[in-house]
Amino acid sequence: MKVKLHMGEWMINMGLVGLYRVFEYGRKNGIISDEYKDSVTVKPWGIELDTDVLPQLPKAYFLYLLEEYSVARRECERLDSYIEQVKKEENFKNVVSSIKKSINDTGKKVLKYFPYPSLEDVLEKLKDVKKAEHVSQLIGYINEFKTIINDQKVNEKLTLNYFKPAILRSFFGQVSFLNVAKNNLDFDGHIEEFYKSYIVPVLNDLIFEQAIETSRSSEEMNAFLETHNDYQPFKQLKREVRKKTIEEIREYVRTNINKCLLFNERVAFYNFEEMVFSPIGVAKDNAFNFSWHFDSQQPKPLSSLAKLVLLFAPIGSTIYYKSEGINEQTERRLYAGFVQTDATFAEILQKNNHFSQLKKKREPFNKIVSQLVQSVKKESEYTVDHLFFLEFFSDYDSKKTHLHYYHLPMYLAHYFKQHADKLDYIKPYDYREQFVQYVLRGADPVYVIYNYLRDCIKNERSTIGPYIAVQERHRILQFKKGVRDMSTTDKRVSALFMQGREIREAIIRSSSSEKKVTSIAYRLLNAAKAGNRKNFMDTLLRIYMSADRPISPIFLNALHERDLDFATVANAFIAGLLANQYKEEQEEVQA
Amino acid sequence: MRIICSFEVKKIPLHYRMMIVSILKESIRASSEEYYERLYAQENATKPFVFSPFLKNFRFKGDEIELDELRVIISSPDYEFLLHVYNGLQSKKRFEYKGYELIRGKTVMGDEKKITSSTVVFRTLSPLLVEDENKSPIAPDDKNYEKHINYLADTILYEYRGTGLCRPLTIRPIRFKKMVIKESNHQFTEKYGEEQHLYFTAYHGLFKVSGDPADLQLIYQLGLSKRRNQGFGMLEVEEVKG
Repeated sequence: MKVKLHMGEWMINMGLVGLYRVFEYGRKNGIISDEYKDSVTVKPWGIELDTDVLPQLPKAYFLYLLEEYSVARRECERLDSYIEQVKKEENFKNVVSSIKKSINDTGKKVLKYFPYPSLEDVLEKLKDVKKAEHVSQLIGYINEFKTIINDQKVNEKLTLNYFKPAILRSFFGQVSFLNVAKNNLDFDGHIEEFYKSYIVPVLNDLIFEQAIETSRSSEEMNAFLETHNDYQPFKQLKREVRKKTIEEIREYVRTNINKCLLFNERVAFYNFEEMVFSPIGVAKDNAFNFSWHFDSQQPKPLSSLAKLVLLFAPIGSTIYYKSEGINEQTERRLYAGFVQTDATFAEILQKNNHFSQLKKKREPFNKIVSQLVQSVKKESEYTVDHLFFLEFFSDYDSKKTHLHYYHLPMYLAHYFKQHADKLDYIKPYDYREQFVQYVLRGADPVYVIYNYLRDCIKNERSTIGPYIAVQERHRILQFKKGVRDMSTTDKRVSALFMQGREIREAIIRSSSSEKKVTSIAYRLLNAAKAGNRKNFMDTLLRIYMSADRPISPIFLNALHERDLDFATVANAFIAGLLANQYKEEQEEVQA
Repeated sequence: MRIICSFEVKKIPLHYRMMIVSILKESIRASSEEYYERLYAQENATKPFVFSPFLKNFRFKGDEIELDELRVIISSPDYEFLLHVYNGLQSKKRFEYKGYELIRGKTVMGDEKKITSSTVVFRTLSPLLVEDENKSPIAPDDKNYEKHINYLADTILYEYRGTGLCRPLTIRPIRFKKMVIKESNHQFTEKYGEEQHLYFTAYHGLFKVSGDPADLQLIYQLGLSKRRNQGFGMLEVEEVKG
């Protein structure tokens, strides 16, 4: 039977992309047999699915995840890079302890499930590796360890144990094979559990829909329900329709059984709950307010088909680590990202494949954005306007979700198309990512610049990054206003930077100490951050007077903001004031 | 904000206040012609500054004063004004006024206090000139003194920020000393000749003022007197009353 899976809400699109990825993976690797090679087809509106292929999907699903998150592969890659480092004698001490820790941690996990005398032996011998002379033995042990974890059974178990809590747990509750009680299942056990709780209901519900349409008598309908007596939703339905005629049964189903929220034409026996999609689902019993007509039984009806599609969402999205917060308060969180547009499904698929490839290469966020935008044609401005990124971090246990939508308005699309490369100079990566995210969120990235400058003062970093950040922020503001020619405004920003640099030289010449510059920079930065123009101008005039130099009238913008805003004036000047390796930096920019 | 500029000079005319006005105008013009036009377009409009000259070791010699150094304190709440004055002063080393030569020394920043209380004792750095409607000087012991000071303050603030005093000031003179200042200007010279002088009866001293702290702060920065832009009415905070 063929079913149409229409695109819709982002989580469904995520699921559809995931479903297609799994199917493609299965087809290419011979997990899905050839006779089903056309059973999932991409249509402009979504996916057409032949239900015959469904029983083949669970295996492909797990194998896909096993390959994507293979612990053995990651361990080997990590150990290989350690081997490179450990060969250098000066690194030996540090690296060897990392190697020992890595092998011990993983080794213990292996020994928990599989008796491996040779592994125990390796762990024991590893303790004796202490000096740089032992490097060849060490490499031998590492290779031995690599063979062990590459054993299919071992890798399967370790990887399952990794992706279930780390990846899938942020999408779903403790449902089906994700329940802790199912942790001891082996690979086939997982497949079976998947089949039982996701595929069977879909098949049953689809036959049921067909039966309702085609049955000619109530007996036929009752017999159908009787044969599927072990399926919970039918059990209840059977009691309700027992004494009804076939017309009455049809009427009952039409009026009493809800339709799915996400696939509107499907009957819904389930609910959109946190166990089905934890980032935005809420527990049925705890969220009475969400119920339509206070129907606590089926507050947000969902079909088994939608539930199945949602299970593929983790594969459809791109998973990556992201640091949030600033400096010491940084926290690394696992995010799932997705690109959503109003275009055809093929385009969504292509954009997301591109997105995930770029993320794997650890491309900075702004690069990704600009590259995705570049493929958007000028004439389809509608599409540009409706391209948005979405990313979320979700922790099922603490019921916490951070969900960010990044819309891409026209002015930003144009900006990224023209100038995104410039942002590469913003280093370290974290600041760049934060900068772009602020911009995408429609917020002023000036706070990122303040922190960035403070970091530069404190750690004596090169200030070309903040300078570029100031300039790009100003450009974005200009783009927002509709200005496209940046030559004059760029000149003003660079003039301020130069002023800072000149004053720096003058101060150092007169006091021959960096400390004075640092303290002035701190004072100016505090004034800028607090929006205290008076304080800023006061300090500025004082520095210029002590250096016995005229002050450029461009600084008056800090007061009247005719050409530049106060933050740009202040930050560009401070960046210049801190620019110590200016010459090299300028070459870098021109390069 | 206040800036202090010192000049190396041997002698200056008796009407040295107009000489300083001339230097300031010249400086502003050198920095920005456009700003100068804006500031001096209307003849009678007050400008957002006040200054006070200091004559180091001065000796009167007829119509001239001999001295070791001339120091001018300029106070203004307007950064744009100060920036142009400063830049203009920076642009030249040597100034000339009617044959007198001034060599510019260093320019530094002066301290400015922050007024947060509603009562302060001000000390005059340059004498206060208060006149009534008929341009006759008003002495601090005159019963209308407070009324005239309030009128002046209200006008000064109105012209600077567009609103007058938040609430009326109360003035309590503590110690005042009368001084008569000989000045001149070109209209007067044209009428009466170089030998005649304009006489201004002004007062130097200490006085207590109560009012809105924001008003007091601006009065402190802008000065409180007639002819503020010609070297009258600059104030210094002597004491802040809690």
